[in-house]
Amino acid sequence: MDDFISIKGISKKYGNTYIIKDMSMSIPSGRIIGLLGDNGIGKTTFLRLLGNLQQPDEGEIRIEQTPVSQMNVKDIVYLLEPANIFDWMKVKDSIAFYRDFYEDFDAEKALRICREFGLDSNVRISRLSKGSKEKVCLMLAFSRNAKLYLMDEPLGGIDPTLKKNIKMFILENIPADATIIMATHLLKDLEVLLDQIIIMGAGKIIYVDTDEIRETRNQSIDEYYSEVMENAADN
Amino acid sequence: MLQIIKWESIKQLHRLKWLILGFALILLTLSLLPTSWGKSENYASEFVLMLFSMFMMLGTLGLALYPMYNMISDFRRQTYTMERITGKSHIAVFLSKIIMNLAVFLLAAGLVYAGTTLMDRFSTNTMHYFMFTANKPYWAIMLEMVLLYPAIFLFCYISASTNRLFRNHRMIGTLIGIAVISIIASFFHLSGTVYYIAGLIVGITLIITAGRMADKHFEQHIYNY
Repeated sequence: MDDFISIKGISKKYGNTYIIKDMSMSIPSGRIIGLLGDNGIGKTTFLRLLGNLQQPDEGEIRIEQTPVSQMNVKDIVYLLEPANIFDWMKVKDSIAFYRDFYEDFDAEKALRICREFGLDSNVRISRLSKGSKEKVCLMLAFSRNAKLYLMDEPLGGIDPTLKKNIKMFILENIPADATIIMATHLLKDLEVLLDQIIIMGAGKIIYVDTDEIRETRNQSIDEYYSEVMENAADN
Repeated sequence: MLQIIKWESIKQLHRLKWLILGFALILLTLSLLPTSWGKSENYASEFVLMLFSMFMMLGTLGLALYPMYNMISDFRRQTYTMERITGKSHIAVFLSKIIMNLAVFLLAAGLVYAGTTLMDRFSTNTMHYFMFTANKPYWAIMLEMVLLYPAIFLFCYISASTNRLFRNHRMIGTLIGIAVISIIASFFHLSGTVYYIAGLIVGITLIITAGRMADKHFEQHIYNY
């Protein structure tokens, strides 16, 4: 499979502290990738670099051979956090906003997802619970038809019923060749979904197939992650 | 661009709706009251008219300062991402905001004119209520309120935000920048057509420069906490 994302020697520092240092990897298309690591380790920064919301200090990221810095940020789906949405909007206003700015946004699909999630499109965002706001964010993201979806903690406040069905929801609502990179701590809920994982903060970046962990090491992703982090702490 | 203007106008409406509604209710009330009501030496009517005057004074001040807030309002961190991921260029957004500033200015001018006219009916020899008298030509006020002051404020804010020294103290950096520009401006004594042309050139240049700076550097710095 051709590389969809090519990352070559990227570094990013805040002040004098490196958040990401000399990171290189190739990510094929059509994969769901978990981005794991402790808080503050650089997962959000990495997603922002991939989404062209920030640029690396060194190195380069290419998506389908095109440098990310030359791409329009609107070509990539970036999952919003609940606080990112104007709270004066009604759910249907947020749909109209996306419809106006993204050619790949499917408003009918958005309304269908609203019904599936039990969201009333006439309700003001400010009146929704945190979990419902997260559903709005998911609805907006998954109503687009893109090749790359970047998600930072997508299921933090989602209710257990939706979490149970999230695998089916994601698989039904993204194009087959789309790549999803999601930063998450909810390994138990999401590990069945993940094709690969990237672990940050273990002294190095670990990028591994989940099949290898399950079949060769006979471990769950959660167990593998805990082992890696414990080993890193011991060293 | 039309979509940007559409959503900018919706945003302005949401922010200003209560102020506009307040003005509208007061103006409606004033237009329905008989002129004699304010001249009846009735303390209650004086008190109500003073309250109305106070609201209109503060409201006018708010509308005068609003264009400057409008220019930097998107950079509030929480909702910035929703706008930024649409890929809109900052310059296009800023120019849309200038159009909105013009709309707000015209609205404010209409409200102030109506308020002054209606309040004047109740003035007596000893009591004057809300009134507005311009100390410079209306075109100059319009240029300054719609373009020049908002552009200076925006430029200073973006400069401060993208400067390592001030990025965590953006408003302090902005005020220092405004002070520096004010000192520089005090050396120039322009008037008439030259003032209008210079004001337009400076305003548009600052908007474009701020837009380019924001496109290239704002995210790089703003998440560097």
